[in-house]
Amino acid sequence: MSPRSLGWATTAVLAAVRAGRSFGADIMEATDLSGGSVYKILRRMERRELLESRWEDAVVAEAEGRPRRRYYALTEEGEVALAEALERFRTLTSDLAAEGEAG
Amino acid sequence: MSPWHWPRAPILRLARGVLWLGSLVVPGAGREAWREEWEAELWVLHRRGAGGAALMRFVLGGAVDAGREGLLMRREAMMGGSGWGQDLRMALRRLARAPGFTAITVLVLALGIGANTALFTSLRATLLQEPPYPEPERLVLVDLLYGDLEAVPDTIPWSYPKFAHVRDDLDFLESAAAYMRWNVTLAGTGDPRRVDVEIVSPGYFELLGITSARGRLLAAGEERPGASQRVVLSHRLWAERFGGDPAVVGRSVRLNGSGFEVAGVARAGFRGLTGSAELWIPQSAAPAVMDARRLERTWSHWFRVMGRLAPGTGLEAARASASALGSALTEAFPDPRGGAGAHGVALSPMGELRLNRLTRLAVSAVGVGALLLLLITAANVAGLFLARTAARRADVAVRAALGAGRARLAREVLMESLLLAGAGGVAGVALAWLGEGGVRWAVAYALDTTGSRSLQFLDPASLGMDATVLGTGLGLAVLTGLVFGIVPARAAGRADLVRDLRAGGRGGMREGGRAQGHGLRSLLVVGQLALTLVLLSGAGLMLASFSRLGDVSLGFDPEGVVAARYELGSDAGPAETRAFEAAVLERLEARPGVEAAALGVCSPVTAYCDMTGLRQLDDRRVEGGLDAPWVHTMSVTPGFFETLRVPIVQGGGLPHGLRPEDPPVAVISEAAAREFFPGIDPVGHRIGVTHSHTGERPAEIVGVAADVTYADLEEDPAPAVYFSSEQASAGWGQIFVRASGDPAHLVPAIRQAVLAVRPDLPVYDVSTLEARVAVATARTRVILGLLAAFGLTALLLSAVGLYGFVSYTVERRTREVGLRMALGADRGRILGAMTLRPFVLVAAGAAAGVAGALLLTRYLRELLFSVEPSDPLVLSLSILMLLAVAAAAALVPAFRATRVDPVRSLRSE
Repeated sequence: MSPRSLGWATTAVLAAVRAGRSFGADIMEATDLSGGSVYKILRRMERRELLESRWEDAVVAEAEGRPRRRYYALTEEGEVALAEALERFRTLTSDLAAEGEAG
Repeated sequence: MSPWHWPRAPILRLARGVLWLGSLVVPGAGREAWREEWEAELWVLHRRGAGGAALMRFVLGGAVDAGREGLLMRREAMMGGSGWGQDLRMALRRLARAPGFTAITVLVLALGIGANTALFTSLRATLLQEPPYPEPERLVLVDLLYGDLEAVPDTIPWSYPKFAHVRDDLDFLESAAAYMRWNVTLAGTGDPRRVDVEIVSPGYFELLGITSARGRLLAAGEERPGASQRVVLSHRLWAERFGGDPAVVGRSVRLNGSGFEVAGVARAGFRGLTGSAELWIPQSAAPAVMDARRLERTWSHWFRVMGRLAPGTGLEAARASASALGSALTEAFPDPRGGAGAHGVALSPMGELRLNRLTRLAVSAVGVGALLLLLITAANVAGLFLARTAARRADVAVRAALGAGRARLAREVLMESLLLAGAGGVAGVALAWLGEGGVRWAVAYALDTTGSRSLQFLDPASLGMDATVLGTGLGLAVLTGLVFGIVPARAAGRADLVRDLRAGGRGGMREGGRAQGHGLRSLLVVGQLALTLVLLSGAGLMLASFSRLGDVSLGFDPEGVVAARYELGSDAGPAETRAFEAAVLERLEARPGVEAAALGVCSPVTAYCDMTGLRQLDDRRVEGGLDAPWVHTMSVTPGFFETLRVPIVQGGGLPHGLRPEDPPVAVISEAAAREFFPGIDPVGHRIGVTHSHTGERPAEIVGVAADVTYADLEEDPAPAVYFSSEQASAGWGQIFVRASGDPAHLVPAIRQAVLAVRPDLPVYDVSTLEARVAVATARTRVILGLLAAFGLTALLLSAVGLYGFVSYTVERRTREVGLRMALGADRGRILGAMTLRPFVLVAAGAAAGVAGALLLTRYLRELLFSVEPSDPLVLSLSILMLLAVAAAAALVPAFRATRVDPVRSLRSE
């Protein structure tokens, strides 16, 4: 049962989350994806249990005078999947680069 | 109140508005969270200085996300969670994978449920619907009884004087009103037209709680003789004849030539207790439209009386009080001819009277037929399901091995059957809806043909598919689904995993083709065949009755005769009447295409012919008052016997050219000759009957005519006496014309002949005598038609059931057949092996069916005509029909077994 391989945009979103960009606007900024695309990926990843989300403590949000945020984090499975995807992209890009050099 | 504040920028408001709108498509539980998350992001973007376009792009992305999330969350809610959603999805998938099974099951269910829903519509209309009056349970029909009260007295209508005599003593009633059916010629608004009316006593409308749509209804003051002549119109007459004129009140109309003023219009839908009234005339004004003697004579019984029980008075208490009125009536109105007839008063609740016993029986018979059909449907579908469950056994076993609980497996099967039942129910209700026009027509037809005698309180317009009917159809569907779902569901719950996995879903050879549920399927097949035989023999009995009714000698030849009614009115004297009749006959006989023409007061087979008491035979007075023998008494023109081809069996017909002052002569019927002159030739003897136009002057018998059926075909004709209308003209009756070609072509000729003599006189009830004979057999035909339709549908369903059963068996035994053939068995042996069991089942079904038919058709006895419920011929033919169809249904798939290719069937394992 191999999970479907992650696409580039999904990999980027997961990578952004792991790098500490834990809510929509930050992820958009980091990946240069639109809000709609980011959320589509977030929802799908959460359903596949590669991401999990939690609501920010209301007290913190109130103290900072802004609405409460929903933060996303990688699950263990998400870590594995991201590592695999990054590895796959790395191999792919280096193979292609080698092909380019050879050609 | 949030501790933060959204900036007042319009672009933010717009953006938040979009998010709010988007959130609406997210289902309840997730909506708030969804909006909160997106607003938090919006806040951040705004704080980071995103421009208006970027913000709008962002929230539009949000709206797309909302749509996607909404869909996903709904789908998850439906499929996850309860497990029922999952079952539903699985069941839908499985049914989609077996389109043949699904289609057949839905079709079978739709047929069964459709027939039942349509039937329920008519059953409800005829048996269950309350009369449309306030507190109908307090309404009672007050009947007058007369005769020997110790034996079974006759129920007769009231005479108006007798009703007036007891009216003030009806303490047990809050109110009572008398009414009678009559018809009049309405003129003064377009062409003169014949309309049905009711002559009613004051308080009639109040009693029934009828309101007026215009003006007012008849009030108590209307009773005084000579009070203004006012009438009430039915809503329909008002709409059709007066174009719904709002100023109709006060307009004048002419009824039978007398002027009346319109007092008001009754509420829509009300057609009186006789069910067909277009107009109501107060009893006090009735002498203007009829012979006043009908109202004044003590022994002229024309009125029915309806009463409303006083509050708090029970039916039994009221009956006790009513019985006391009888002796008061007998005292006040002793039998004028010295007979021992006594009066009685009986009360019957209105609800019980809405149907006569035969109609009730007929409706019940059809209802039982529909129920049997539903049972057959259920058995059929249960059989289909059992087969399917057996075929899916391996699949179920795999699922059970993977951890699906037994309850879960049973639930899946149940869900499948409920789904199918639901689909079948919807399709069935749709079928019934289509058939609704048919039911409406059938009820209207029944109303027309049975008239006031049975369904008088029924309004065909009120029939329809309302919520109750719809609910019943779907309820039947769910019930069917549960019934045929439970058996296979239990089988699925009990599945033996190891054995089923090993068998791979096919019956092993060691079991000899048997599997769990096979016995039950056999039982279902036998049950269907048995019930089908019951339905077939019921239909067969009705068919036999119908064909024997057709053999009844009517005493006349209806072919080629057209008849129409006319009425001159009470102001026409005898001389005028005779002149009218002679002129009309002369004109008709001169028309080409007319073979013969005659007039007579009464038409055969319509059951509306007057009967009067026998008074004198030669010089002997007949005693007994109202207990004396009753005879049909009618005035006819001398050409009557020739026109209707009624054979004269002794003596001659009525002579032409009689004058009123000549000694009266009469022709009597064979039944009268047998009954009153047994063993002697009645010609030359004299007979006297009560007759409004001859008085009781005895007439000399000049001939004997064959018996004509005037009333029910099922009964022996009553004695009849014919007078010459030249001596005793009635002034109303029927015009009969025998055509040399198509009688329909003569209808305009009849109208023209009458209008040429009396331009203001309508002719009505125009129909051929053949049509009237058809109407007289209508009840038998309607029941026959319905039972036959049920019987044939049942036969079809049973054939499908048996075919499915045998096909299934053949399929399961393909390998066995292949092996046998490989070992040298010939096709005949294979065919024998395949059909042995089905034929045993058919034989068992037929045997059980014979028992069931003998048990149930007994209840048809009263609906049958000269055929016994256990008629061996009908039963044998029904069995033969069942056997033939069953044999064909079993043989077709069995033959297929003989074409099995042994190599392929063995390799397929």
